This record gives sequence, structure tokens and C-alpha cells, in this order.
Amino acid sequence: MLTRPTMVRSRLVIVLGLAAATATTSHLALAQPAPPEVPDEPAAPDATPASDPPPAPSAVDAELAALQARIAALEAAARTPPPVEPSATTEHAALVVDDATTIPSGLRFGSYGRVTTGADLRGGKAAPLHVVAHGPRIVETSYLELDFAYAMTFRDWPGYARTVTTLAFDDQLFHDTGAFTAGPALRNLYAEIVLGDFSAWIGSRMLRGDDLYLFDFWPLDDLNTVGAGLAATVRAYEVSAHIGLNRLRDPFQYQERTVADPELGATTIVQLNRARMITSGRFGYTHAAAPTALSWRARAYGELHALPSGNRRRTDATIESLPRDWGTTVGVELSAWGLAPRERGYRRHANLFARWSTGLAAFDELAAPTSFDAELRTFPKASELVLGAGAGWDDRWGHVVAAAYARRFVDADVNAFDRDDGWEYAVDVRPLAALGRGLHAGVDLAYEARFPRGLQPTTQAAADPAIVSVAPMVTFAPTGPSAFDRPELRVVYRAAHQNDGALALYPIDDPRAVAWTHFLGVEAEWWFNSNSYR
Amino acid sequence: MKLATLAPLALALAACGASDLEPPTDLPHRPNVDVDWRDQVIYQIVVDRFANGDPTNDYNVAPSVPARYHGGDWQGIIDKLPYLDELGVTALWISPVVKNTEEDAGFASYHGYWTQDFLRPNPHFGDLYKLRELVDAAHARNMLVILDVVTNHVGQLFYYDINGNGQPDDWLSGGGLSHTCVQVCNNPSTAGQCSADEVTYCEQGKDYLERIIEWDPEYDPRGVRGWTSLGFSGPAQVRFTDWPEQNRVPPARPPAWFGWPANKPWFDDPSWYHRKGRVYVWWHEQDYTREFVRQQETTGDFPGGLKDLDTENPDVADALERAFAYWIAAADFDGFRIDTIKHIDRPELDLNARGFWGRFADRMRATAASLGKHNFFLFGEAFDGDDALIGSYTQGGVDGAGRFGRFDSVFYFSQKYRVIDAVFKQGQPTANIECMYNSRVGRNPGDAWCQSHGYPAGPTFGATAHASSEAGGIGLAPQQVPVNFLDNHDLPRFLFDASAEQLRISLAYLFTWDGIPCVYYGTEQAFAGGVDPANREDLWRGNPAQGYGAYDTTNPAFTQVKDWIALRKARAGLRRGDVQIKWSVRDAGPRRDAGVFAFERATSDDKVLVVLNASTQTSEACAPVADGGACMRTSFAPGTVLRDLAPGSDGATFTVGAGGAVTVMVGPQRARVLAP
Repeated sequence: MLTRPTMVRSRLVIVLGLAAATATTSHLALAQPAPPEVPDEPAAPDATPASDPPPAPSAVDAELAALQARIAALEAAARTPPPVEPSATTEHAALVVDDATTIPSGLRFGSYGRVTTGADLRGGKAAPLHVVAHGPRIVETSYLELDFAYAMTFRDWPGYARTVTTLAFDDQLFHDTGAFTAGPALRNLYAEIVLGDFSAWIGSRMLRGDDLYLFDFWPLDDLNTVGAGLAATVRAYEVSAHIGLNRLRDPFQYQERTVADPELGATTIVQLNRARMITSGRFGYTHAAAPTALSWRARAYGELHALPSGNRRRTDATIESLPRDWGTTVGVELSAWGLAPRERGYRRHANLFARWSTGLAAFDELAAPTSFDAELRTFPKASELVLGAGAGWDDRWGHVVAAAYARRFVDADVNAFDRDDGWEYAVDVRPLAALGRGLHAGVDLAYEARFPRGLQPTTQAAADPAIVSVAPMVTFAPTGPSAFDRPELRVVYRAAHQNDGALALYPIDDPRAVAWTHFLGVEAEWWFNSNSYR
Repeated sequence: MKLATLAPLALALAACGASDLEPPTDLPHRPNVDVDWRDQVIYQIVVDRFANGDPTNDYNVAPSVPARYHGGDWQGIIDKLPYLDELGVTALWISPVVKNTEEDAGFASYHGYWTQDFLRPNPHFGDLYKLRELVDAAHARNMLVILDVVTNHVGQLFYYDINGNGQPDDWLSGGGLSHTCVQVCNNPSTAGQCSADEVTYCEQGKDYLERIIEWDPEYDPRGVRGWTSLGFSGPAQVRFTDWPEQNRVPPARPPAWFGWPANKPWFDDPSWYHRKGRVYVWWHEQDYTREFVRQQETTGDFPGGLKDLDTENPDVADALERAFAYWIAAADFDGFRIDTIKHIDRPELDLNARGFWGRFADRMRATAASLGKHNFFLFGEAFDGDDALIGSYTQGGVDGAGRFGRFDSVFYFSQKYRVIDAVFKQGQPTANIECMYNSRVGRNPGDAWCQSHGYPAGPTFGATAHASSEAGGIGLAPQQVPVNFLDNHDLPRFLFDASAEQLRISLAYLFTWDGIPCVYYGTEQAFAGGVDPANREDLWRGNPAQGYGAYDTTNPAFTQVKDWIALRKARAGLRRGDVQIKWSVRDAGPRRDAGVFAFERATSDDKVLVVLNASTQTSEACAPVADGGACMRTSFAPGTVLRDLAPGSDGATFTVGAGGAVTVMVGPQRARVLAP
């Protein structure tokens, strides 16, 4: 077992290359919290390309040689029979290696989690603070996912099957609230069969691509669905598609009511039952180069949402007809990565996103639309445009992660001036200097602003809410030098300033409407062994 | 390097949406320089019932329940402006726009008269920009917009905690013992402190006053008192409700831009209310002095627990004036219809007591003038058949600070009762119309018939304009611009207890008579609902009883209203002409001229003769033969051929004879409008 951090990182990078080579779908499925922006990294043509820099000092050479031998063995294992579900995200690398070598099939456990606790320096517990849809995540609520997979290999087929179950818990810490309860959500529950370059899955699943880590935001593809999907990766091309349904427990899609039982008493009928069908497709091309060269990838993405008509009952027993509705999304993503001396465990990447949605697709699929045209439709008036950019750069001096997005939302109602409509944007940069042995110090600088096309209800005046925050921090992530190495422990102070427009968003008499807010606390964040994040 | 490129990108993108909204108060205001309010036809809209243009704001609607929200909104009015254009109306009176308490005892505030916040719009109807969009869209079609304003009271925002238990008791056993009647007037040691009116009040109401509802206790001249089993405990504590789901919360302090001093109270302060309980005196009004009645009306809560504001308090008055000045600036309204004016002050007792209205009206005019708006029209609602009472609100006055004005007009309730109902529905003599007119303009001094029928000598309405057009007034005497109506949202619809023929002749009167005609929405669809809320039908459902679809423009009622408006627009005499009454009848019942009322209206370049027949027989404007048989004499020259222009007429012609005499026969409940 290699124990020196530098060696662990070295081998992980290489193994990841192999793992990606066997990945058959590019969908990422770690739960709601954000994985890093690092895109899926396909295999390099050569595991140790000629363009790699000279090996590290001689003390490492022997271990590298041993590692290369193991790589060859792993390559063979990757061909027949297939390995355990690998992860294409480098941040999981440390544990993937061990899993891959020790658990080729059977049960596998993974987790994403974060715990945040801190004071607001006014005697209270600090809380997230945003004026945009996806604000900086520097102060978040606690969250946990428990990820279980059981994989089985086939005797006569070059593939494997597995089931994936992910339980998620929101901010319910017994030691915080004193409430001895926690209600998990099932965020993944599906079975998947992987045959060579092809895979198929059926079940309930999160489908996600690359994110902007600093915002906990997936600008291009982020669906939660119950359905089925197919994926294939052929050489440099990837293609995937899915179809799913949801029927929210919302009177927009589902309504029960009680009627007289045909015999005695009362019984329940389903008054409204309309399922939203969501299909998605993604196509990508990857130009893979050696880790020290520049790799890049282009992806195109689309969604189609459709909702049938239905009738629901109002409180006064009248019937309201809900028309059929639909929505579409198209988007693209450009990614680049590489240029990293990977034996040092560095990652460097940049992603650009653009997404345009209309109708139902302009609203979150897990919530009923909030506005309608005169016929109670969202299409075609509602629209959302998202432009995003994210980047990370690890280096000898430390690392920096940056993200920015702009979003324009127009709701479905007829109002030209509407505070729900307008642009918003956020920028966040987090440079941290390496202090040695996984210790980093730096600051998170963020700014978010919204430009509503309407008046604030409390002030009856137009205003542009904005928040600027400065968050010096010290982090400790012993598993590697990258900004995406986890687990990571942080000590953070954040000062945030809300302008008058932001203060006007609070209901009247809300004591939180103060210009300066603070957070002083600690945070822990981890992820490992994601079974669905691919 | 990447950061350097990304940050400007984000900033550039965001700049695309940077807020460039102009505050509604800064948008241009319609000057209304050439507006003459006599030319207008007002159309009264209950916003919640007119048209639903934006289902997104359909919060808590129950369309089948008459007293709940149904979904109408300002966008709906915008959408239906072409319908109104086709009808021909020129001014829209929209129901109140301010944020209300949501509901009270299961009744919702769809009508808008339960103010919770004087400065923020009712989100059921849209936001401020939508309201401004409505006004601008109406202006673009040359329609004016009048806002319905309530300054007398707010919604049921608080209760009187008479027994001090901190909860609103719907029934307080023994609570009546706290009343002045028991504690003062019926107490031998203190009875001398009670006025004769109070003694009468206590006697008349002794049974009723035993019942106490803490939401809405009966009027107590000394203010609602607290009481426990141990006895009288002084003024009852006022407790504002904290029921956010019903928006029954204390009114929020105003936004900073309003400039209200931080050290001054606001509408969430109990001292801003009279706290005397519900007006009760109406049921025995004749038993009291006018002063006692007026005192109770002006300081008591409006029935339903609508808490009466202390408008004598200068701060309260100032806040209300500023609030409604803001609505003029923000929404560019062209006039106000003001609710419950007789519950605020009482000029009929002293015209020279400026009171709240003397100050409010002039300040609204000054506000309009400061915005460049001419001809800002103020008319009030005094729900009363007393012509002198309602007319007093149109009279100006003089006090130590100089002259002051009041309303340009009032909703002509006395006419509603004594003409629309009595003459056109019940067949009373048409001389009532003449008496009413003469009272208004002061021509009744020697008319014994009018006096014997209770018509004051007059003039009951103001004879001079309160302000010039340039100064924000309308430049017209109130006598010239009474707001005439057949029905409204507080009364059963005309057709509820009347026939289509009665509607026909009443419409003829409405559109030919002196004043500003006001049409309640749905009249053109022959709606026939009874009392509130049955008289507030959804226009978008059409009139199934008559087989009319939504917004039908082909039915007879629509056609009648449209044609009368068109005729009125075409004839200046019908809009602005002076009135010369040519024939009226002082006896009811069958006779040659039964139900005839004839008058000329003339301007310098137009003159028309209108002959109405309110009876169910064919009549002519001639005396019975037994009375000499003389026929109506007009001011037209002999030989003039008059043609009937009335909508639906047979186009008959009549030739004026010697001395201007003309014999005009009119069918039952029909009208002729005759002009050369």
C-alpha cells in the first residue's frame, strides 16, 4: 500500500485514465450537492504519453514502476471481466483505486456530505444568503447522501449489472435541533446494465453533467426523473438519451378528493393525474490528449417536456381545466482540461455553458410553474437563458476556482414589467495558497446581483438586489493538493453586504434585513465512491 | 487569464438586464386639457368581476361563491378595452386598488373596500406597473380612468378586547353592561351626564346593546368600554390581529420614499381610530337630532367591523392625503370616486367648517395640477336619499384660511330613489324629476307641489366651480355634473325588479338628462342580480339566463346602451346643453300625458327636445282635454320639422306649430329625441 501522498496522487491519475476508458455514459449522478467542475476525463491514448514530463525524483521511480505494472493488470481486468463501477471524476480517485482492486463486484458504499455550523456573530445561527437562483455556496446547510451499489458480473458477457440506491438527508442534525428524526429522500434507485460501450438503466435517477461547484449549480443538464436511459461511447463520441415521468404531489399535477363511497362512508378518487414527460438527449465529442496537453470536449444537449391536459377541482367545487403544455431546452457546453503535471495531482479545467429553455422547461421539473399565460400555459412565453463559466487551476502555489453565470428569466404571464422577470448574475472566485501538507489559506470573493423588471412589493420601487461577500478561510485537505480533493475541513469567516434592493426583498419586519451579515464557523465536506456520478 | 476573460463576460451579460425601470410616478401624465366632464360616460367596473386576463394572480379564487375572489384583474380590463370602446364609454371607474385584508367571516375582499395598506396595490389584480399600463392603455383609447377611494375606514384589522382575554370573542355574554347606556345613562348617579339623544339611544337599543361582538360592538358615544364581571374597566383595549394568511395584520409603515416622519404614528396605531363601535343609529334615525346621527355616522365603525379612522387627527388626514396624492402620481388617474363621504364629516351642518373633505379635495386638485393634469374630477358617494345632505358635499366654504372646495359632484342617490325608482319603476309623477332638478339648481322656492313632496328649495348642489381646469378642478359647477346612475354595486341591479321596457326608458333618461351618465358594468348584458353580492356577476360568463355569451355585443341591452352613447356623443346639446323643462306631470295614473316628461337641452349650436314616456300607455305631451288640452310649447320656430333621433325609433317627424307648440306622441316606456 502506498502511503505517501504524492505517490497516491500519481497512481490515481493514471488509474482514472483507465476508468474513464470503460465509462459508458457521461451522466453524472452524485446527488444535489455539487461535484467539482472537472469534466469526465476520457482515457489518454497512452497511459503514459510521451509528452508527460520527466518522472519525479528517483525515490518515486520505483513506486511508479510498480504502479505501471499494476496498471497493466488493471487494463486487462478492464477488458475482461469489467471492473467495478469506476468513477471518472478525479476527486474520487484515492478511494477508487482501492475499490477497483479489492471490490471488483459486490457491495460498494459511497457518500457525499457536508456539515456546516457557525454563528452569525449576533448570537444566532448563520444561514445561506442569496438574491439569485444559484448563489455562492460559501455558507450552506448540512446535507448527506449515502450511496449504495451492488454490482454483479456476467459469466458470458463483457459487462456487469448493478443496482444503485442513494439516500439523502437534508439539514436535520439531531445534535443541532434536538429533534430525533431524519427523513431521507430516495435520490437514486435504479438498476443498470453495462455491456462494453453501451449501457442501459431503469429507475429513479439524478441525471447531471458538469457543475459550477462554487454555486452548487448544474447549468446545462440537471434532471431528476423516473424512467429509463441508454448511453453509448464509441471512440471519441458519446451519446445518451433518457425518457422519464414525474407526477408531483402538487395540485398542478395531482389531486385527490373524497367522494361518497358507493356503499357506505367515503372513498378517495384521483381528480387530477397528469404526468410530466421529460426526455433528454446529449451528444458529445471529446478530443483527448495527454494530461499535460490540452484536451477538450463539446457537448450538445436537449430536453423536451410535455404535460397533458387535466381538470382539477377548486375549493368551491368548480372545475378548472388545465391545458396541455410543453417546453424545450437546448444547450451546449465546451470543456477544456489538461496542461497539468499530473504526477503532482493537479487538475486544470475550464467549462463554458449555454442553455436556452422555454415553456415548462424554464421551470424546475420538481416544482409546479409559478406563472401562466391567459390559457394557463407556460409555453411559449416562459423562457430561461443561462450562460455559465467555471474554471479551476491547481498549481505549486495553491489553487484557484472561479465561476460565473448570468441568467435571464421571463415568466409565462402577460406582464411586461414583472419582478419575476429579468437578468441575474453571480461571480465567485476562491484563490487559496498552499501552506503545505494539505493546508491552504485564502479567500472566497463573491458578488451576486439581480435586475428585476418590476417593482419590489414592499417598497413599490424598482431596485437591483445585490450581495457582495468576502470570506477568508483556512482549509485542510490531506488527500491531495487540488481544489477538489476531499475530504476538506474549513474554518471560514464570511462577511456579506446586502444593498438596499436586497434588503427590500425581505418581508416587512423581518429582522434579517440588515446590511451586513456574518458567518464564523467550520465546515466539512467529503465525497467518495459515488456509484452514479460518472 | 481565464478569470480576466470570464469576469467581463459575466458583467457584460448582466448589464444587458440592468434595471432601467422608470418609477411610475415619473412617467408622463395625461394633461386632460380639453376634457369636459359633461362629455363623459362613466362605466363602473368591479375589477374582480370584469375580466380575468392573468390567471397567475388567481390566488384563492372560488368562482362559484359570490362573496369570494373570482379572478378578474387589471390585465383583464386591458384585454377588454376594445369591448368598452365598442360600447362607447369614455371613463372607467375601477374598484379600489389598494391591498386589502383577504377575508372576514368567509367573505373575501374582492370588491376592494377593506383597506389594509394604503400604499401598496392589491396583488389579486396586478402590480403597480400593470395598473399604470391599464391607465395608459385606456388613455390611448381616449378613455379616462377614475379610482375608487376609501378614506373613512380600513378593513377589520383589530377587535375591541372588551373582556381583556386577548382573543376576539364573537359573543360576549354580559358585555353590553360595559356600554355607556348601562354605566352612565342608566346609573342614577350619573344619568345627568347623558344627553337626550343618548337616553333615547339607550332606550331604543337596550335589547340590542346587550349583544356584544368584540369585532363589531355597537356604537358607544364615549368609546367602546372594557368590562369584566367585576365591572367597568375604562376604554377597551384595541388589539390588531396577527393573521398573515388573511393579511389581517397591522398596516406596515410606509416605504422610505414616502417621507413619513419616523416619529409619527401610522395606521397601525390605535390612536388613529375613533374606537366607538359600529354605527347603529340608522335603524331609528328619526328619533334623534341630526347632530347625534351625524356624530354617530362620522365616528362609528362602518358595519362589518370596518374600523373608522380619526380623520379629524391632522396626521391621519395628512397620511391619507399623501397616500392618494401618490396614487394620482403613480397611476395617472383622472379622477376619484370617493367612498362613504358622509361618514367622515358633515358639511350640511356647517358649510364653512372645512373638515376633512375641504382639505382633501383641494389637495388632490393641487396634486393633479402639480403633475400637469387639468380637470381632475372628484365625486363622492353619500349613500343617502337626502338631496340636501348629498348636495352639501358639493358646496364650497370659507374659513379663516380662505375659500375651499369640496367635491365636483356626488353619486346622485337622491335621484336614484326619487326618479329612477319612483318614476321609472313605480310610476310616480314625472314632476318628481322637475322638482329634483329645481332643487339641485335652486328653482323651487315657490313650488308648493315640490315642497309638499319634500324637495328643498335649493340649490342643493354647488353653483360655482371649485377650481379652474388649470388648477386641477373641472371648471364646472357641481350643479352641472351630477353623476346619474340606474344602479351600482351596492344596489340590486335595475333589472332585478324591473322590466326590459323600464330599463329602456330609464336608459333614455340616463343618456339625455343633465349630468354625467354612469353605467354599472353588466347593464349592457342585461344582468339582473339582486343585492350584494348577487349584483356582482362575472362578465366573462355572459348572461346564460338571456342566452348571451361572454362580452356579447349583439344583444338588445348592449345595442341600446351603445346607441344611446353614440347619440349623446353626436349631440352636444345632450352632453352640455342647458335644461328647459317643457312638460311634467304631477298626477299619477292614466291620463293623456301620463308619464310624460319633456325637456329641451340647448347649447349655442345644438338644441334637442327630449320627450320621455315613463308610463305603460301611449301618451302625448298635451294636457287632458278637460284641462284645456294645451300641448307642449317648445323654443323651436314654427314650421320647424323635428325628426326623432332616438335609438330604435320609427324616425317620425313632427312639425312645430304656432308659438312653438308641438304634439308629440310617445309609445309606452319609450322616448323621442327630436331635433331639426
